[in-house]
Amino acid sequence: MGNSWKLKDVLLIAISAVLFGVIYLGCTYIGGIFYGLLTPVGMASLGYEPFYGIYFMAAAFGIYVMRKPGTGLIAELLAAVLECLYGNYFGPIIILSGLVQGLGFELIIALKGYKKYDRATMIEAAVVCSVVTMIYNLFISGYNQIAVPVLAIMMVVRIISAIIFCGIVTPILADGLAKAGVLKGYAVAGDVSEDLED
Amino acid sequence: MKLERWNPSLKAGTILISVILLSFQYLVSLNLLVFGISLLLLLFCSDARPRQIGAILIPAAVAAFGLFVMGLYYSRGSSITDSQLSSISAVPYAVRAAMSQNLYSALQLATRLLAYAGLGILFALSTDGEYFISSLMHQCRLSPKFAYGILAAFHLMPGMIREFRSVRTAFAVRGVHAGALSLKPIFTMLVNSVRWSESVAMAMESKGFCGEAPRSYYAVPKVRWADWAGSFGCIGAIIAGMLFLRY
Amino acid sequence: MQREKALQLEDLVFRFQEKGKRNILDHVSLEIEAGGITVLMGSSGCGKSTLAAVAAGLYPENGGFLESGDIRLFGRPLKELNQQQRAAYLTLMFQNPDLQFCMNTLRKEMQFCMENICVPPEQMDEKIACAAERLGVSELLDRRLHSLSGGEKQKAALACLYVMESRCVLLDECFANIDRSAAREILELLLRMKQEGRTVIAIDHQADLWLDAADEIILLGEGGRVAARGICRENLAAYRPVFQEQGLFYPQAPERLYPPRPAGDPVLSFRDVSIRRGQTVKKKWSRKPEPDEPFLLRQASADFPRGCMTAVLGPSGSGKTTTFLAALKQYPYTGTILLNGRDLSRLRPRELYQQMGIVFQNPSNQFITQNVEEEICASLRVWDRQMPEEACRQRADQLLESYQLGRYRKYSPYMLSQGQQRRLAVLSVLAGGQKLLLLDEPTYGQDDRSSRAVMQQLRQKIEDEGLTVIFITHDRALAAVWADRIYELCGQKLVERAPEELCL
Repeated sequence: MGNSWKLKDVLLIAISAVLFGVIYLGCTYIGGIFYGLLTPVGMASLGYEPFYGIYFMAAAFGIYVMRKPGTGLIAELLAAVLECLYGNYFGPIIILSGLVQGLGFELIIALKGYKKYDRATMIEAAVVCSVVTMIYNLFISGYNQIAVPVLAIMMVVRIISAIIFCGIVTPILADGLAKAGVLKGYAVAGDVSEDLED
Repeated sequence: MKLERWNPSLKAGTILISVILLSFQYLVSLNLLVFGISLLLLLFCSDARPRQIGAILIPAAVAAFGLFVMGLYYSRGSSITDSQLSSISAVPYAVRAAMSQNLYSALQLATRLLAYAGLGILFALSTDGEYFISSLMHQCRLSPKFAYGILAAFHLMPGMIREFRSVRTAFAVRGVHAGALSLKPIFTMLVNSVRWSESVAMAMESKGFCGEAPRSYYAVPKVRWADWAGSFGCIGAIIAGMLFLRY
Repeated sequence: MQREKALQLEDLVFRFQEKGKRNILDHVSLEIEAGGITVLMGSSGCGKSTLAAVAAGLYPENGGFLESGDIRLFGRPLKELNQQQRAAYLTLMFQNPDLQFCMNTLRKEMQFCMENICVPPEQMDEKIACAAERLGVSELLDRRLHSLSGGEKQKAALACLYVMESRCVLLDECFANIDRSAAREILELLLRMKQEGRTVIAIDHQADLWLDAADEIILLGEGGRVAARGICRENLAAYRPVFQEQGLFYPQAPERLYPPRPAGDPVLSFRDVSIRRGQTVKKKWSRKPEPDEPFLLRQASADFPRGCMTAVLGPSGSGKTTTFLAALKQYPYTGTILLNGRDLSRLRPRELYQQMGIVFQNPSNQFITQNVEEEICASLRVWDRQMPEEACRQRADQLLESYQLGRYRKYSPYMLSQGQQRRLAVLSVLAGGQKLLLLDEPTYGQDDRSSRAVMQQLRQKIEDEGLTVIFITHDRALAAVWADRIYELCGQKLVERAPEELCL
């Protein structure tokens, strides 16, 4: 596995994971407000759900840019280890979540033989990843104690968030980068080599 | 033995196994014991300062409280009907809470989160990041390319936050208003990320770093019998708790 | 007897896109002898940095396509060596001091470097102590790297190369981000390394600092090919035409090209302004700064006159950029800042930015579109919303042409070189029609021709449209040549200086 990875690929994945982490951190301020507002009605955990998709962005961006098996999983694991280093209160438990998220995101792409990376595939991957992480939450976080309608609401919000952040935003950003010539040498850039000079 | 000296990979592994074990049970007392013992261990067997512990506990406590309230209102199998769900705000909370039989479920949910947080904090406040990565390299066969890649990215974080702010400033000053989740600054930051990954990779490689060749190591984290004893002790205690505790 | 060759390049042809037409390096052949200090000079975009990366084997490993060419380090073919073995012969130091380290302290970074080349762990402490002593960086060893100044970071980077004991060090524009005194200190260290028998190759677009130290200066022209070599202090004068032909700084005392303009009424005034150093730039400008942080500026006053060019001098890390951020309401301050006589705290940011534009040190941070022409058009439209599409494009092309960027109009801004990006950023802010322009290090990383073009264009704008320009620089010569008024940030004050005062 390790040998086909160049150092700069590892760094790109890790640095983008830090970036998405910073973005998520920014969003937790907004999430905190939702959280506060929703606590009295008992829906506090819903507060952060709208931003849940950002968690998967490292995987989505990594696999969309590099297009090789294992990228999604590795990206999430790197992101999780990094989060662990920053002193998240869940410590190494984050690594377990990262594993689930990475596998969840890569599932659909793997089933398609790592050949299709269109919007539909990315959206499907985002949806599947949301469902997989919710199943994980059912067991690990004890969400199986919670009434089904409430879980359904959380699930829907999480899916929408994942679709927006990973199914739509991530490909737009990556395509933009490729078009701007920034991702030269990565699979997403294809073999475009236009000469732009007049 | 100090918690700092516990081999980080074993420590992380122990915590992961503990969490998986805890996810199979619903004992409030065990959850609280795990949480409490974690904090005591941190206070007396590590260099973590009480203030640090307090600071990191706040978000965990808030999250646990949220989950508690959620469990109180919406536990599975309780008698809330859909019509009640839609008129939650109309029912006074105290009455609802008194009426509901959900208190125990709510406690299960909240204390489980606290138990996890206790274990997580135990790790977070007693583990040096670089030592952890180094241990992952030697004990878990993490390839040096990934290990040093993670460290390099980790150390870029302060610069990244600074850069993110300056991008937003630059946009504002050009009359482009970038909202909190606007894509433009994120795009610019991704451009920076790609550039940085190339520059840092080249800087590291020009200093002789290459993933395949053998390297020497200044310090190699070791696993001693005490590390194993600690791990087995923890896991054994949790299993014992699961077997003997009743509530 | 023939001396050993540290670096031999033969007929290198390199480009970034395999099927592209433009070769960055176009049939470059070059030999550099071991044991001396050699300086490679070339205009921005001539491919000198690429040359360094190709010579060290970082390209095409990390991108690009090497069509042909043979590279030898101390006689050994580069192809036969892996990165680890190459490091014994050649190590690199880069332009950006922030992106050279993967650990957080110099001591750990040095350990990392020695681990890469399999130095036995028991020798490391001694080697670190010895190198730190030799290069005078002992007190930096355990400080966090991101808290060091640019000059200190570059010293730290050099110490890493030193401790690796590689036979040749290649420095890519390592003075670009640091002030002169720090550069002199590094030069001193390089001389010491030369005495120890190491080879130093430096890439730069300015020769003046190197003149005393360099054994040879080589000028690179189009496509990275050698335009002239064998230049040293003694025969420098004979090569003046070649310097000018290549658009390079010819090392000499600066001469003023424009008479100073009479000072108008102040556009921007500082009255008893104090700014404290913060850990980070605060999110909200109004938030109170940490009360125990040291002052960057303490009750400083200054007037920036209308229709003039004012320079703000000071060593890197002294708080020049932060001062500008305060004037843009992006950093907390106490005291009064007046813009056109109005208190800054009463102005809404929108109003403020309609009057004041800024070009930051990292120009790629301020591009808002993904196309060079569109970038200028966007700024033109901010200025004049009714401007018809066709006229807008024509004007944009005209402006681009005047900054020698015409041929790149279909490029993405991110494809341009550092110097080109800066020119584009200056241009896009000027196109916005602001009457007060702040520039952070406007000529950093550019050769003489392009930085002269930038400054001249600004000068013209001042004459024609009454623009006011304030620029930050650590380059005293630049201030002396172009500025009508000069402030120096020293002792937490803004002190006015006469051009003659700036000893050069």
